[in-house]
Amino acid sequence: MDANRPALKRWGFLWRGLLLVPLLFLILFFFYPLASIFGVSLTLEGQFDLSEFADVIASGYYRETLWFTIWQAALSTGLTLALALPGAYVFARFQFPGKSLLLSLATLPFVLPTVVVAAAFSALIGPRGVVNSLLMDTFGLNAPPIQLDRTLTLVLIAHVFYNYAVALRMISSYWSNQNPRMEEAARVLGAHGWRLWWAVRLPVLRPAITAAGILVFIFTFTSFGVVLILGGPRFATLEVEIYRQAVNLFNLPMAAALSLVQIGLMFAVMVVYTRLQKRIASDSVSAKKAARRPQNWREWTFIAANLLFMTGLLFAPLVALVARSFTGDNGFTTQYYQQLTINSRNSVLFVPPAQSIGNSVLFAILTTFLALMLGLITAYLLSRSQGRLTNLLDPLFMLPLATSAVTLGFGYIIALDEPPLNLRASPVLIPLAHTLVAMPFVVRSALPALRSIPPSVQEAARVLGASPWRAWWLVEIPLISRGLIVGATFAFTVSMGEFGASLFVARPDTPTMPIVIYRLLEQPGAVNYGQALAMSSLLMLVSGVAFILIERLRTAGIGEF
Amino acid sequence: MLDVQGITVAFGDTPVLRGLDLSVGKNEIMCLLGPSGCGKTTLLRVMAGLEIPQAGDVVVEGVSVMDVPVHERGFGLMFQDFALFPHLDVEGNIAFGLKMQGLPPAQREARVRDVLDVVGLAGFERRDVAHLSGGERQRVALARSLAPNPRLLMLDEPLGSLDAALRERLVVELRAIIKRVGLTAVYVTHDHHEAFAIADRIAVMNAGRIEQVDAPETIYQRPKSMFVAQFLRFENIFSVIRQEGEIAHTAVGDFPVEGKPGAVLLHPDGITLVGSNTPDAIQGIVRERVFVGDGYQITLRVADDQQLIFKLPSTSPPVPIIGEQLAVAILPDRIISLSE
Repeated sequence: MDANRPALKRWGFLWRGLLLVPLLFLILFFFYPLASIFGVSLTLEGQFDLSEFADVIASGYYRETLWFTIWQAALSTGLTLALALPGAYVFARFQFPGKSLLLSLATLPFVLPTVVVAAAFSALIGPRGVVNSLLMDTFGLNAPPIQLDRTLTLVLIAHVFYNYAVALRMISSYWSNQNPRMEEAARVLGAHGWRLWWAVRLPVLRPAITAAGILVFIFTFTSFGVVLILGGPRFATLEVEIYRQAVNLFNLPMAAALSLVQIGLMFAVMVVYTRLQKRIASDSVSAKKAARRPQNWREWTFIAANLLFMTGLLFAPLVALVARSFTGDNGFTTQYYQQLTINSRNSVLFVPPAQSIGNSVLFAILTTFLALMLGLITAYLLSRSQGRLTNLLDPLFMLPLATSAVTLGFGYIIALDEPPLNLRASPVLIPLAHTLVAMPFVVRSALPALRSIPPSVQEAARVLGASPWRAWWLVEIPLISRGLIVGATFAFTVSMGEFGASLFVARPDTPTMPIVIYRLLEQPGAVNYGQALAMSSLLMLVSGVAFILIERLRTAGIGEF
Repeated sequence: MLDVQGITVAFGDTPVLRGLDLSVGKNEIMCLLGPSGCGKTTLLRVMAGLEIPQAGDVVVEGVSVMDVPVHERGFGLMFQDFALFPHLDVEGNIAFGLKMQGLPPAQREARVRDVLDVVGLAGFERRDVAHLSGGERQRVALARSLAPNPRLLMLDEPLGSLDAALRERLVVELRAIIKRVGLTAVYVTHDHHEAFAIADRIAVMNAGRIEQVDAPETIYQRPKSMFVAQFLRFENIFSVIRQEGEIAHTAVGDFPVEGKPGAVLLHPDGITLVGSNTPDAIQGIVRERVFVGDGYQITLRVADDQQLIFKLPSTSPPVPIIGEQLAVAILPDRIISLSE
């Protein structure tokens, strides 16, 4: 066919001008703060100087932190994969009632804020949790029998909670695309039982397992909220340490050096992941899907065990969270919810917790608006132009996803607190930071929809008498609206639950919900604890509604994650 | 009615159309025929205003439309992939152009009903376009282009994505509809059978230029250039080695020619079996014999390892066998001179 080129020539000038907006945003609120971190770490009195960075790298404390970060991530990844693999088998190979509902419910943790998950696990198996209270009541104990608070075990369980579904979905979708005849061939050739797993299944699944492993590793390596809240002061990942060094100890060079190491490592891992993901995508053959109904009691048991584990892991903490938030000393109570509106300390800076709901919603609306505008323009840029520029820009706009929120927040407080951009005193920093985190979600939701519109559809509208503006409004916008709604919902949810960056940039008098939850959890007392759980339940409700919206609208084509 | 003058388009350094001229008469179906990459779709897009040429003019009824934007040209264009709007139902698709014209809803509805009748899809208004068959989509796309009563209907390989059997049926129907409505049409295809079936005149395109514009019968009977003959899949094309006056020497013999041709085509219609001692007969050995239903396709090996391919009707026994010696003669008016 002859080349199809969009006749955008007359619009070229305006178009390019518009495209500068997201680029400018990225430079101001991403690269500039990042560069400031480099500045703090790699210069001394305006001179390029590696000595401070070298000192940090050489210190034993730094090495311990890095080592802990790596091995807890590796351990979490290994655990997650080991637990998700049987589940992936169940979802790839069997057909059973409620399968698609379960599979979509399994993605719920993806939209749950870390503080909510931390609170939920605390409500389930913490010292004041449902399980411990039950055991204490039943056996008349004086102290909680399960002592997991501030242990690595609790951190690991929370990590598995977060990443189980990620691994399950990636591996099972790859698996269900593999030709089942291959396994049958292996069986005819004499392989069965463990040898079938070892010689055929695992090697075949290796690309998917590796990709899932890397993704889980990225998530757990940069784990912040879970480690900070559930791990307590004994444990610190690089992320937690950046926060502590910057905020508690005010050791900016140390925090900057840690951020640098973090950024470097994450980019390296991200590059590997992107490569692998492309391979998985191209590898999948459209073989006949081989899911079948289970045939004997052993298969049924296997499936039941996996589903039980999955629902237990995913829903027990959430149920416990809500249940515990309504439980006082004398049974059912709504007092924790009522107390959210009371300013218990009467301090100028400490606002009634309920006010943070208003803050969070306002910030989330601002974020959604900004992320939609900037994300849509970016998606257009990436879908319309081809060639070297796009190849360069595409990963550029995804960089914020690979940068941790804590690093971003840290960059903000060192970069944006002095002229030329002094925003330290302004609450606008929060939606700006959130937009940066949320924008990639909008781009990734809108881009596949935009790319799937053949240029001829828009041209058909033009030939039929629609001006460019009307063609855009009547044809393109309706066609990408689902993608846009999904993107907007993601942006809203991400902003509502964002913790790491907010902790740095939120002003004391305009806290967001996750920050209030964190503060309440850190303070002693049953009332504070109850309020934290009540607030977490509310935040979970928001995420839950958003999640249902996303799952209903998400079709096969929408969302490249 | 439509005059295309000196259209030049280049994508980067690659020339696509090289100063192309073409005239289409009122109510004529003009077919642009050529291999992919010859520029036929680009020419169509230039006419529609979707592509802006570096040079040249598009004139409709004596008025240049070069400065008229796409949506004000009042043309219809049917795309190869149909480009139906997936978010609208059949009626919404067909009414789109009418809505752009500002037609009130009642008239819109009536017009949609009319064109659905014309394309044979009466009652399809509420159907979802995603659930239509290939042939039905094609008709909806046609109905959508017809609805606003375009001055010029352009069709870009409108049957390209359908299977062969459906294509053969629809091409006949398409011509009937266009003629019944009384439209001027430009039809792009790479399939010469389709072009023969639908066109009043065919413009054969090659590398951004037009090689020949003629009625389908003329294109088939008297292709002008080597390119046209090869594109129509003619065999028996022999380059002229040397020319003396009106006689050209080729590897298989000497033939009377006109002008200074680069090659001669021995048209398969004009090859007949003759006795071996007939003067000027071409002698050869049967190398292949393929039964093709209504006859046999014979490949005859002649001098200098050349071959002649022609068809013998199955009604003319005896059927030659492989290895047999044959003599054939070429009817003088079926010897076609081809330019390079």
